[in-house]
Amino acid sequence: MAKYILKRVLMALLTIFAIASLTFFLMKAIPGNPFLSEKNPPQSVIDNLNAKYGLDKSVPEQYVMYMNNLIHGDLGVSIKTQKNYPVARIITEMFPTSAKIGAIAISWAVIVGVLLGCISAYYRGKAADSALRVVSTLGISMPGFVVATLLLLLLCGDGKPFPVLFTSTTSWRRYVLPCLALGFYPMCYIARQTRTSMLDALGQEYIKTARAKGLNTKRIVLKHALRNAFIPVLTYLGPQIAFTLTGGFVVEKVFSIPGLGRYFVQAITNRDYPVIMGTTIFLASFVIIMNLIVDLLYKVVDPRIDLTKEG
Amino acid sequence: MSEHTEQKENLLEVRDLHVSFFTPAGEVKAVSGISYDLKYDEVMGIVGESGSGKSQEAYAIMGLLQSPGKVIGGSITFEGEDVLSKSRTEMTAFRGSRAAMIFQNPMTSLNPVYTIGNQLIEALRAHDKSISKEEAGKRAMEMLTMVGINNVQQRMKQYPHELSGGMRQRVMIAMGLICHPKLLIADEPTTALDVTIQAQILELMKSLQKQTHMGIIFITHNLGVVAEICDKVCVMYAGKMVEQGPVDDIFYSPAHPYTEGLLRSMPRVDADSHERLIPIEGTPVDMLNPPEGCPFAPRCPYAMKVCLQKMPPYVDVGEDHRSACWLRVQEALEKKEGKNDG
Amino acid sequence: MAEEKRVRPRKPFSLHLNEEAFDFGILSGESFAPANQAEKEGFIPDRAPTSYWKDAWRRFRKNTVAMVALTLLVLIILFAFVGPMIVPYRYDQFNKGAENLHPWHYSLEDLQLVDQRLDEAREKAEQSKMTPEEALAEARAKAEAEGRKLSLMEEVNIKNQAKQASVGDGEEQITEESVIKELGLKTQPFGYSRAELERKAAGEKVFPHVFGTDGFGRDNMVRTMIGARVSLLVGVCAAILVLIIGALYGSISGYCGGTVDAVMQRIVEVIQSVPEVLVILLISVVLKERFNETLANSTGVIGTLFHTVGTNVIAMFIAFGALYWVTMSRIIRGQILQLKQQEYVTAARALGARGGRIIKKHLLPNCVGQIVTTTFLQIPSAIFLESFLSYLGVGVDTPMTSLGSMCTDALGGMTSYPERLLFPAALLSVMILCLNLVGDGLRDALDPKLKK
Repeated sequence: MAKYILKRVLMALLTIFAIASLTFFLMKAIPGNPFLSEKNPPQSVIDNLNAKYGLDKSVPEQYVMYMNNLIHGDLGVSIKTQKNYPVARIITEMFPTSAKIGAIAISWAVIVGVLLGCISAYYRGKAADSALRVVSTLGISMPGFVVATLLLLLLCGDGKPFPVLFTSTTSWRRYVLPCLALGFYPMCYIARQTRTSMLDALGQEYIKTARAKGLNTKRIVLKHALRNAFIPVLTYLGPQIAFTLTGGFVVEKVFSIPGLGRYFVQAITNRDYPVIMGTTIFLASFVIIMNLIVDLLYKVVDPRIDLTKEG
Repeated sequence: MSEHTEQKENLLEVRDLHVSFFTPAGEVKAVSGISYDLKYDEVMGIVGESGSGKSQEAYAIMGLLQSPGKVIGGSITFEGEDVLSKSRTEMTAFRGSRAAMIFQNPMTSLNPVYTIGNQLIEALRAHDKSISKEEAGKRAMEMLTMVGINNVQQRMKQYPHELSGGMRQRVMIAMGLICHPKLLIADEPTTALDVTIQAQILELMKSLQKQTHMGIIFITHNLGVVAEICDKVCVMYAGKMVEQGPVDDIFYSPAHPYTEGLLRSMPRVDADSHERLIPIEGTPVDMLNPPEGCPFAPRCPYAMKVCLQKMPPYVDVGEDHRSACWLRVQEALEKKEGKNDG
Repeated sequence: MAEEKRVRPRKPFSLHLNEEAFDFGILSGESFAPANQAEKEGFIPDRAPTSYWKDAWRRFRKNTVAMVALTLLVLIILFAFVGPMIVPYRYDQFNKGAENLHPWHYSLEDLQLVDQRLDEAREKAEQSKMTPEEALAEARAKAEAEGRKLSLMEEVNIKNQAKQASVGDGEEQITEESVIKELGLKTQPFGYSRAELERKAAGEKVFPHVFGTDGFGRDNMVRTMIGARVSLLVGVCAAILVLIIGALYGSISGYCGGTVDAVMQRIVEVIQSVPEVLVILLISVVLKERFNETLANSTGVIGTLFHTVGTNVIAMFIAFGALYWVTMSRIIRGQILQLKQQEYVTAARALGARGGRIIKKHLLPNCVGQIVTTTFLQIPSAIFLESFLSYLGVGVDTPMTSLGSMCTDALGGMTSYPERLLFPAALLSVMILCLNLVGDGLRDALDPKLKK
């Protein structure tokens, strides 16, 4: 067990390292100096930057410096949106809002998705199943901005139940639509996956055994099928967390939520490279760590997975 | 014995059972016209190659047929009760308590995410809610001991993947027998196991049968297993019963070419060392478009013109021994003519 | 025969046939003659040997949902590829005087009526508007007619009133919309500008702006068509890219095995745990800048390619190709590992077939179903990603357009022109939906595990 966890943690660190390196070399690929906003800055600014990032040194030396800065949490400073403001501070200020919305979204997505998937599998081939399948397929076919904008158009504004601007109120209502929009895709995805794995589980031999034992249908579905069906769903949870995070970019933009996602999008528009790079490294690390946690959760649900063995 | 009078009664009567699968490609007649009786304390083997409908026939008894499979004709009577007319709830109560079934692959037949103890206790408590968990646990451990598992205390807490195949099949048997059913259907219980383990499991089943006096239907494609454990045998081919009779008659005077073929393709300890194993040529018929005549005709070395036209009727060839083959019909007619002439 | 060798003699059969139930009519003199081989072979009706693809197509056709989706998809493809040939506008053509059209119009007569009303109202407003002095003069004249003189107080009041009235506010603003509402005019489908309506009235054939136009007077329908075309092409190209890279990587990894496989799989693991969208976004942003810088003035083949396709799209492809092949390679590797064990492959190897040949001849044909399905399902996911990137502004560049960038463009005037968002968004969603449904159908049809 400990060996497995160690292996996975090392793997995760390696991935984060790979992303950080990629970021570094991409930065090198940007024409001109990515840390500069003006075309011809005063010499003093250039000297400052050179000292800090060693831009006059050789590439390997710069790489070491860059990595060293990263380890110490120095992600550079914003060059456009909030000039000279440290990226690390921006992240710590902006991320909690995004994380809150993301957490609510993924929670309701899992609960409702698993439920709908079970219903769909249970009524396989019936009208309820067909309807749910079409809805969930539609759900994974509608880009996040379409869902978010539709909700905004239909339900927000004067005389409608929800505010257009996230910041215009402090009521819980402001969370409803962003969380709904953000969780819709993962919900549909999870519903589809649950249906598939539920059907798969229901077709297994042990379900036949359970039936032969004389268990009633409810018990067979809820006890024997669901737990087995949930394991593959868990596999998809990791990527869904990543998806929810990036989906947040769009949702935060549409609902004007002052979160990291919207800030990131603004940085892209403004070509604020240090912010783009820093946020990417941060979010990627976050996703990788979440993936690691989800992977380790397996052990709890599926006793078959022998973590001491390889693979 | 108090059940002495009952002993002569039939535990199970199956009459002209028809099971069909309604697939998008058409109707597949998995079982067409099977009849047999099973007495209390009797072990019957159902033999046939895969796809011959032997498992579906058993599922029909247990009410385990999965859509699109359906019983479309015939009757099943269990201790005088009509099984086919039972409601879903009645069938749920029936399964496990009065008739139990164990399956081919012990690797997949146990739920991987629950402990052995959990699954055993569940089987017991599904039929009797009044049993406390502790009591059920005790009974489960007794059962495990009975099927030859040691260290039961520890085994109860283990997950299926932590046990060997033979051990798992023992657990399956324990689970089947925990409610003391009158009938046990064993669907190829030894096929997936190593030969040595196979022998152990057969031994176990034999001794358990002697202890509990239950009726057993033993489904297999292995005639050797049948010789080991069964009192009588029913041979199936392409959903039809081609021969039925006491185990010795089937082995020593088979009355259907398919049975002969099965015997010849089986290694025998008592056979001449020169005797070669002769496989049955050809492949089974397409169950989707079954031909009119005898389904075995294309593979039968004795096939006659009539075999290709019409399914033969059953001919009684001995006491409780029947066969559906035109050769026997021909012989019966010749014999009658001989009598008439003489 | 084996019968003679039987160890125990067979018991004689008692042979009792229930003759009452037996129909002797089916027996003829020939009945008990041995059947010959030909008769036996003819006994089992031959099912027409169906090929894998024929069989799959038969199953697919039975899947109503997938068939409906396929039909819709064909319609969308026709819309995207044939549509622009029919519509006489180009996607980047500014139609002067036809800016900001809704997808509906009012008839020329109605418009004239509206103008008339507006003119009247304006005149009325002009008339009613008087300078304070004029109002005072009028009031004095009125008072004189009544035979009295206005007090100083009254004069001041009248002046003030007139002043206020001339500032406005006093009366209701009359606009085109309010007049249309007042007259209860009916809208007619499709957008025409006034000039176009006049030309139409003059007998000229004028193609309507079915979806209206944007702020530059570009026809929205043509733009939607081109956008759909770009989105589809991006999807298909990305899928092919993924297929090539994934298939190569997966087959090499699976076929070589051993250390090569182990190393390659570690790489896959690293890439797999990377949040793709994030990295693709990053790569796109950076590469775009790089390409713009280096290729701005190049005129070679590559330069032309970049200019026509757009640096963004190329950057997107590179990013997509760099990350999305992982799933594909895993599937193919898994299939190959599974198939490698099978006898016919061992046999082929024993016969001296070389690695590449074995992959081509034996392995790939066996996993073709799964490959086709996975490749096909890459199309909607690529379109999905493209629309996401375009929405964030790092996708398809102007003047080229895609459904995603059209949606972004529409955000500005969302409340007045919701249709600018709705048409491309709906088409995008329906397109991805159809692709997903067809993909699901393909999977069901091609999966040999479901074949019974």
